[in-house]
Amino acid sequence: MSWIGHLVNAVSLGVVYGLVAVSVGLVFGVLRQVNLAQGEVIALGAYSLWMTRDLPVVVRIVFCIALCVAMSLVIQVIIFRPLRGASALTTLIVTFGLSYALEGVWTIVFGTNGQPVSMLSSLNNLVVGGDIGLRWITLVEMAVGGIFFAVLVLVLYGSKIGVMMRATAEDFRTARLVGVRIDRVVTLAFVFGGVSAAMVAILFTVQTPLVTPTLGFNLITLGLVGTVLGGIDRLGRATAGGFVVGFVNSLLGAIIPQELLVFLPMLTFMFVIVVLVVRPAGLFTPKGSNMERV
Amino acid sequence: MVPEGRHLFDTMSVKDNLALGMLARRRGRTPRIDERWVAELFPIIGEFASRRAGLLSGGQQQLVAIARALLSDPDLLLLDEPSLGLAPVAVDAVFEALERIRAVGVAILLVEQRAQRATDFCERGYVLSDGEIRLEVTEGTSEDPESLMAAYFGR
Repeated sequence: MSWIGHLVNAVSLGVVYGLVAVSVGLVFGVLRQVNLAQGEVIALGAYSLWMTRDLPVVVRIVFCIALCVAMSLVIQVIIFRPLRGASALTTLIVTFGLSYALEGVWTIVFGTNGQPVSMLSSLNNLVVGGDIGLRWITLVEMAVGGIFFAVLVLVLYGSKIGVMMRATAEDFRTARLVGVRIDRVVTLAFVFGGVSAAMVAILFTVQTPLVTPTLGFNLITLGLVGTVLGGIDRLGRATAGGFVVGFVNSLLGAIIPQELLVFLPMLTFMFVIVVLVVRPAGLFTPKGSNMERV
Repeated sequence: MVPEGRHLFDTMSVKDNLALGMLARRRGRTPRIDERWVAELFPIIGEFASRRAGLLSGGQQQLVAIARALLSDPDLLLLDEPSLGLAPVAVDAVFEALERIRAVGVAILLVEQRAQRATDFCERGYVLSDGEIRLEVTEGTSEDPESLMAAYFGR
């Protein structure tokens, strides 16, 4: 495949990680806390597609979204609400532990080797063949990612709850002081987080039709790194960072020789380290802007 | 309530800041102070409604902070050091606004370091030190600046 083909392909994974970053970034935005367990929401969504394998596609998608939102809200109620005001490190460790535990649950319930999920596999067919090698799924991902992000921007900038959400993200205490209902804002962040997790689950399993217990954790690790790479305190930057990490990861995977593929994570993280050494506040944070380091 | 240091949402527009002020309004009561009243009180705010609050001058920001608090239609307006870090002209603007707010029947509780200014404005003033009242000033009693200074600086 030509280099154009590699670039086009890399967009696919870029969008997936961009959505992972949205999922993490929204919650971080309002609470300044990292939800590592979001990866397991994605995993549950992916397994749900296996569980509903005999049902029509639309039903499977709706079920997946509903399940992810529900799980996202459960995490908010049992972990983030009691730990409101705890240090970011506390929730990081707690959700890290939860991820591990859930990974164990997936292994017990669904097996170590993973479950094959065939859904909309025709989307992997080529739109444009030859050197470019554009697949339908890439177009779908770009459309879904674009629409979702546009909806998010519309809500954040065009609705009352959006104004409240931005206020909370900027200054939690003052937002509370002026009467923002923090619980509603946080709930909305987790709902959107759940929806984007569901979309990641769907898009990712269409491309990679094997759901393994470590799927969620792998996605969230790189996605989180992406948000930091872009600048975690702003949703747009965090999303762009997620896109870049996914894009670079996919591109590196395509161009390095087959026998070096085991070093792919190392190479990706090396790229991240270099970027953060040069721009510690994030790739897309303007130089000289003062930001609180996480 | 107007917190010390203003605490506006800097990256958000003035309009959004003001919209947030209306959240704490009580339901089922026609507000005495509404958007129109505030717009008349601070005509300057209309000029930069769509600008980011963080880009305004300190004095302008203070007016926005007061406007935000007013839009909750309070019975009692709490102000913590509204003149903090402001130029003399801006301080004048703040106190002018407070006069007009008082005139519509909103009670004002003001904490202020500019003692002379504050006691001139208030009906009742107290100089506090270590949690104790050092001096009480009421309207009408012509307080000589000397004793105010003495109490204020703890002499």
